[in-house]
Amino acid sequence: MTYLLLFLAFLRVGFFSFGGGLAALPLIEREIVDTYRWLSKPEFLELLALSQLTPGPIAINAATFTGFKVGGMLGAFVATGAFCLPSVLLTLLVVTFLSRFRENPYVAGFLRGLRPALLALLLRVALSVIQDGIHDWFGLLLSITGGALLFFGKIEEIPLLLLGGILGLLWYGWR
Amino acid sequence: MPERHRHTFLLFLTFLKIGAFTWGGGYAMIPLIRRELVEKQKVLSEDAFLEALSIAQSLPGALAVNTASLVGLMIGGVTLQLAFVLATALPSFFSIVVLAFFFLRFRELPLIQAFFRGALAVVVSVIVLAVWQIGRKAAEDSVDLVLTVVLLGFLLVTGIHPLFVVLLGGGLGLFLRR
Repeated sequence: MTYLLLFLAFLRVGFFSFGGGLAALPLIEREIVDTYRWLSKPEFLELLALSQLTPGPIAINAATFTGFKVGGMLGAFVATGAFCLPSVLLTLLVVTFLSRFRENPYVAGFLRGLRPALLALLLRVALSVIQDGIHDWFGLLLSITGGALLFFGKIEEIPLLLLGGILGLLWYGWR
Repeated sequence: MPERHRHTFLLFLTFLKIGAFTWGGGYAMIPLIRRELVEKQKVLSEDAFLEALSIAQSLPGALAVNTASLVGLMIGGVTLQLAFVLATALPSFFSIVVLAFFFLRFRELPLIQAFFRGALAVVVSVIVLAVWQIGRKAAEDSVDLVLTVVLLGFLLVTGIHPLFVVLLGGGLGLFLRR
């Protein structure tokens, strides 16, 4: 039963995450944290950190992690497969039948309208990440400094995450 | 091994390599896919690659998976499509399974918690910056900005499922953008 729920949840995520892997996050958060409580809020954030530290698309990482936690290897396989299935089917459909589908004005209008929706969803994720990821002034300091370094291209994501982790270890680990 | 299968297998390995060595999300895979298939192995034309990429962006799902799936179909049909999707997902799959196996056992350790408290503070910066960069490109005019604010407000107040926000945005697009 859990496997079926996992399959359906990630199938929904796969079908509605227009705008790439990052766009899948609000849907994943909704399904796995709010609806099914397969991950707690802190675990979801830890998952984001782990996803950045491992190769591959973030949504695949999220699906595998959740599936593994809920149902072991089989769970990981079911969740990842379910997330990829819409991609496989829709690309096949487009290449076979609808190579000009985006020229249809209705389709073009729909796709154009997705942009503000995507943006609203991403802002909502950003808000909840800010709310749950920063607990004290040290976290705030790390976050602002890290953001500035990233913005000015002084550091890349993975070294930044490791650096943040090490500073966290030094600061919080000693108290 | 027949020549055709050998060819499929080699392309599969190419994709596996791309999947295993691109950190930081699927977007990082795109230039590598192009370099391998268009420049090095010359199994796909530049135009076909760009077409695949733009179709991939208009479909739901991870960009890297969609692109892999499309170029697979374009080069060699359904077999190659499935091989490429598998190769894109596998490295990610196994590294997460291994990591999750250890992480779920040791996450309560105070040192691990301390590490993640620091790492999460900068995950906040990574996510916020990514949203800012996407937002700057996605919002082209004031209509986009107004709709974004309205949809965000709606989402925060009602707490509806994100997929309805997707459908609502697309539906509004049908009226406003056609």
